Amino acid sequence: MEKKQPLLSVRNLRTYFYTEDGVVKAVDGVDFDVYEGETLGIVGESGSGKSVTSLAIMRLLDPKGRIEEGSQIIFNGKNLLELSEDEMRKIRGNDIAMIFQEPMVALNPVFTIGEQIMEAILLHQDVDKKTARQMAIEMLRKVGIPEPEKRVDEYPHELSGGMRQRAMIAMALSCRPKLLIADEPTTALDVTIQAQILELMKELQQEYGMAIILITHDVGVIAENADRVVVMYGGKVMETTDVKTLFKKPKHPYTWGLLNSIPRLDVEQERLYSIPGMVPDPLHFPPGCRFSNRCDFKEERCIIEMPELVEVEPGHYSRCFFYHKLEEAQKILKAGEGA
Amino acid sequence: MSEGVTTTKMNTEFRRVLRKIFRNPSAVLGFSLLIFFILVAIFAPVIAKPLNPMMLDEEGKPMKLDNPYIMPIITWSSEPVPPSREHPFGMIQGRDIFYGVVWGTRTAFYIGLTVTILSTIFGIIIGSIAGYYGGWIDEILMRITDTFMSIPFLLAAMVLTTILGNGLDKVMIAMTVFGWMGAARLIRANILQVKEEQFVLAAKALGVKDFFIIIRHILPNTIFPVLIQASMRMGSLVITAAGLSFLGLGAPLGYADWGSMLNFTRNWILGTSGSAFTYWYAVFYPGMAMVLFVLAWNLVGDALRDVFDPRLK
Repeated sequence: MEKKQPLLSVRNLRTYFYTEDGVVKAVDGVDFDVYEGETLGIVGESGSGKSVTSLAIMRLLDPKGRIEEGSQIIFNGKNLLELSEDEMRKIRGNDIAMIFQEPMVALNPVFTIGEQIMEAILLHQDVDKKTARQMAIEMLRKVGIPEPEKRVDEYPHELSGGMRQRAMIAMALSCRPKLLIADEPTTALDVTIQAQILELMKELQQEYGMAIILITHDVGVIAENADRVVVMYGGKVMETTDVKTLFKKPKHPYTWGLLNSIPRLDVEQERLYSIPGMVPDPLHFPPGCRFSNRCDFKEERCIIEMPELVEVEPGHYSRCFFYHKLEEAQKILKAGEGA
Repeated sequence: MSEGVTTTKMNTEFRRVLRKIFRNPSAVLGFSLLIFFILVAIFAPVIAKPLNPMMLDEEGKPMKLDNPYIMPIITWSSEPVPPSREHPFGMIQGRDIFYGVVWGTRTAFYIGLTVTILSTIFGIIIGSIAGYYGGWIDEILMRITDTFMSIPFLLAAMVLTTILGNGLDKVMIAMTVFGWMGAARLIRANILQVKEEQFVLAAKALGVKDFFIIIRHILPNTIFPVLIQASMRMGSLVITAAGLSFLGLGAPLGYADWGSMLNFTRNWILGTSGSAFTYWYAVFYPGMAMVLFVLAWNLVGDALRDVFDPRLK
């Protein structure tokens, strides 16, 4: 792998929420890099800390959540956590933009979509209103909204869900950010619309050369759109590698469980696999591996000791003591399938 | 061309609002009454000429009043005089009730609008800051609000007016000082709800400043309930001001104000022995003006709520 300077590197990111019941360690020591022009998928169940990670990068956590000392979010050589609120505001929307899960509620109902796109343009670019409006129309055309000259004056409730998500993307990309954080961008949409939106994001990514962090719980979306994948569980990175390796040779029991719970047509399945048990309560994580209570391969050690994220193969990291046991199990299974 | 598009949009929206209003009879009544009062207030100098028939100039014509809001004394009769052709509402304390009711409309608007606007603006500022920033700022501002709310309104207004000295402006100050809490609480509650909306987070993610997030993204989504509440409060404020005037704290003696006119009736309210309604006109006309004024604002408030409630759209 070539040694490029990453666009964004997150180091030891810890985000704790101080609630009345105790400290919720929503993100607990997360490291990853995003390189220019690539798509990094972050996958995990709800409560795994993937959304909190994205909000922490934008520094938009609600006041109860705190990014702990020692965390680093280096973007373009600058540690975002050391910037003042004013400097951070200049980065938001301009260098890093974000799109959200629910296009229904992520647009302000009392303004036209044109006004909302123009707001972003006027904030970060030195143009007058007329130019901004022209740019907004251009942007709407770019995201595939028909009749943008007309649509620019419509209110969000006059657009369909897919159109709204396109408008959302137009808004986020209006200032040509270097990094786009897409938090479950297609979860609320129909499957056919989902594919269109993801395709659109891919096209725009190539055109603008921006990096995307794609956050989702949908392993299928990851498989089709991500270059590299971070698998999160219980506020920690469980495994990270490029997407092909992850799907072919997962090195963590949790990833394997996730992959097995996708329906497959090539194998006869009576029932879909589901990972037994529940996500541990973030207030009371087990002292050892966070996945230990649901893991088929656990041993005494897993319950007492937290495994480190180790490089099991070049560029492939896993947080498991017994990943080789997983390999054997996979071999046996493969043999079984072959028979 | 874009201007044109926006204008037609505004027009359809405006027409939708109008249609909604005209479909509802009580809304029509409310708006008609309000328009009636507005016309009376505007044309007060025409309807009741500010002239003093007791003071004649060299040509023998009645002299103009220095301050039209001070009702001229036109008869020396100490008893109320029943309605007649020249004085259709009758006279009390030597003053023409018709004149007082007409010019009192201006006073009512003046008091109502000033106090409502000032207290609503103040409430919106306090409520927005408390709701948006939350935490200890919210805690402090809301406890102050609670403290103000815990004091009975009429009592507080009376005490403050007495401290400041009598007069209409003092009454208005007192009513503003003790009248902003409802708006503050309402706007805070709405902001707490709206600020969790994703479009607020989306705006923050675009790098919009806090001030503009409140002004552009939060207030337009929360302001209508407050405006509706304010329009309802208009009426009740006029009643309170009248109450204070009745108690002798508000407008000076003889001021064209519905409340102080009722103050004149204190000795005559019971009528004469055997016939309780002898002096009915003294209470009826100023009282009726007040009732209709309050009714108008309440109906208008209701109508606005119906029109702007997004769930009823």
